[in-house]
Amino acid sequence: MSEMIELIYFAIFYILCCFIAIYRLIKGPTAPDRAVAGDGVDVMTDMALVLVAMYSGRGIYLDIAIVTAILGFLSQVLIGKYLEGTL
Amino acid sequence: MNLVLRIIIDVFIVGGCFFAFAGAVGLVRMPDTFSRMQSSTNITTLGVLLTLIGAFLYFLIVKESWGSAAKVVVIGVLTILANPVGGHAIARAAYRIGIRPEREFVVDALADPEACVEPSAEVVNEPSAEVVNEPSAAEGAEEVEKEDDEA
Repeated sequence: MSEMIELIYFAIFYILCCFIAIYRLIKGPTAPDRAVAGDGVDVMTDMALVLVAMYSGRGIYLDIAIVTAILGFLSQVLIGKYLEGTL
Repeated sequence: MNLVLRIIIDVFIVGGCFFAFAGAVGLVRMPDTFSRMQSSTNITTLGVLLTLIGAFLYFLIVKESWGSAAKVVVIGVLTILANPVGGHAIARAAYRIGIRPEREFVVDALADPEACVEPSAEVVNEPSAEVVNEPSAAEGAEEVEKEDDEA
């Protein structure tokens, strides 16, 4: 455990921002709204994982964050191509 | 642990948190789809980059862990390279399935069905590019004339 206790509060703040984006993910009227909100949730979860890795001193969370970044990119491009009809 | 270094890292991460919060609020409050798309890039550019700069400094200077710093750089490069591509795909798909902004377009280059089609080897792009550019330039000239008439 690090002595920087504020890092875990920043991670909790990112998760609360995720809930703000999840509101748009549930309510959003069109499919691109949901895709964009889902990408926002994905990126903010990445940042929360990096902050938890800094707080706990375990590098495994960084690997998970890398995988989540790649999957978020792939899902966004695939949803875009699917909606456009050129998949 | 150095207090000045801790304050510097915290300032970077607080800046990232501010931009992420601004992007999340814009994602809820913005009136139409393309505005929400523009607001979500707030999260993925400045929010991510400021937080990752803080994390990079922390891992490099405080922990002296080069591997973790390299992983943070990889996350940053992935985000910078991936999000414009994904945002472009989503925005073009939103146009193609019929979503329009609330205000009228000034230039509508995607209205041409030949625009943004992946080019084959035989098609030369320059004539289609001229076809795309000419109406928009004409429309701009008309608008300038209208504004002159109104003035």
